[in-house]
Amino acid sequence: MITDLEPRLRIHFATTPFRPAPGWEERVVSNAVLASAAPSRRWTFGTAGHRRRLISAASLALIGMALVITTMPAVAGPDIPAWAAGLRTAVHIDSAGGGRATSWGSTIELVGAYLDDQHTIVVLKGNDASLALGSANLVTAGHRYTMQQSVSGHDGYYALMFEPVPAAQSSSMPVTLRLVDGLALPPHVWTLTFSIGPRVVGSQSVPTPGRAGSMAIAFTSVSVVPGAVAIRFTETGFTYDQVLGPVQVSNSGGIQMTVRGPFTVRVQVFDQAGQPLRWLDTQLLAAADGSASVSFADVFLRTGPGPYKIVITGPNGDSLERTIGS
Amino acid sequence: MGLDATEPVMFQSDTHSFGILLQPLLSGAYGLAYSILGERGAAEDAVQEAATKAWRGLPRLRKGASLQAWFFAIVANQCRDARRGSRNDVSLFDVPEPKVADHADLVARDIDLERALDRLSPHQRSLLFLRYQMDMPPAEIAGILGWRTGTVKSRLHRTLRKLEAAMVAPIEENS
Repeated sequence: MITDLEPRLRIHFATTPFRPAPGWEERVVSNAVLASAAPSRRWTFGTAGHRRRLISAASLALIGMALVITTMPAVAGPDIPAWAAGLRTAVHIDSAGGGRATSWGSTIELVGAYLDDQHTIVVLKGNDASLALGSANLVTAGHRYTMQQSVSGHDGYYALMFEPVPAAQSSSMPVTLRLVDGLALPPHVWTLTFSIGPRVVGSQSVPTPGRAGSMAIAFTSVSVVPGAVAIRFTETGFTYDQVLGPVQVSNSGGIQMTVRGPFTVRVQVFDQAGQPLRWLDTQLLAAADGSASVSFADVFLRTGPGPYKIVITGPNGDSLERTIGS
Repeated sequence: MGLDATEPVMFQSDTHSFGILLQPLLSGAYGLAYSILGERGAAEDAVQEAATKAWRGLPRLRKGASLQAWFFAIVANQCRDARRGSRNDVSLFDVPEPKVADHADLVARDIDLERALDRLSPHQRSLLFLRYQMDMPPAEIAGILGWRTGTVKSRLHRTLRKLEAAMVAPIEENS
């Protein structure tokens, strides 16, 4: 019977659904070249042409939760810049070799991890700045967390974002991080082992509220921790539609929102030298339908010394500036 | 199948050469993506993204390596990422598109086989596509899907057995 299946499969796979539309191949090549020429500033999100922001209603319940991060004595490597060496304090590396792995001559080293109720961010350094870490998963306590987003190209540093690991917010958890470079042939695979665990971040003074033109801004919390600067604030004066462009809402499987289009509220953080910190993630926290109020949770990669200047620019171009950290 | 990148460093700055190398692979790459994702738009997006990565990564293709195997591996990886993203990204507006068939397809359509294939995992469907549409040997499939050659052989056998069983199983109304 199996031999009978083979010709049927060949016929099936030759039908229209498995063939591209006429003229599509030509467009793919030109689009690939054009896309490579364009600068990339943000996380690559999902499929081509679809940069999406996924907002879970669960975020509502998470507003106000303390940011947590692990702590261990700093261990600075000889080629690790100060900001990255500081990030090492976020994790405990189980063994001398556990935080470093080599595959086909490319070495990946664990730099640090940032945990909060929204996500887990692992920062790595590679001896090859052109690695394509397209696939990664983090396994802890029998649960596999797949990589949601990644960012690379920052002086050989790679930041990978996973879902939050709830258990690690209450106790130290050994984890295994498996990375794959899908562009390499044969595929490069790295396995790193380390632990992540909690530490309640000391309270930072919350900046005073203010206005950016017609937009009122009230800060909820700010956290300056090794490797990351996290800011939460609520703007009043503009609705979702105004700050996000087209918004699509789904009620299937809980309330979820898929956001497309550019943000018209811009959040930037600059270090002491005036250098912008690399943006890592924005979560938009749900508000009542039609409400002219939107809450943001932004995380930036801390790449230079503070104090840090936050600049929030509204849809009409007016800005608010506040200084945090030290 | 026979395309090899002999001087890959030269190609990245040469869009024309890139097109000549890549274009013959795109139809098969699309079929692979469709076998995994089951949706035309998603398959096109995945191959487009893979083509962009291939253009960027072409200098790193090892001399003598199979361009098709390398590119298909990128496509398969991209499809895995797309499936991960789509599991978390549910929207009422992402209505699955109807499967469109031309007249010849309607004549050739194998309803029993289609239903049985729908019961397979995306990886199993991609395995069958690479073996029976692209006529790839297990060793080449192994490089694309990131498995061992022996694993490809055993999974191929199991997939055919499962497909065989699914074709005689009762039809589920909601499938």
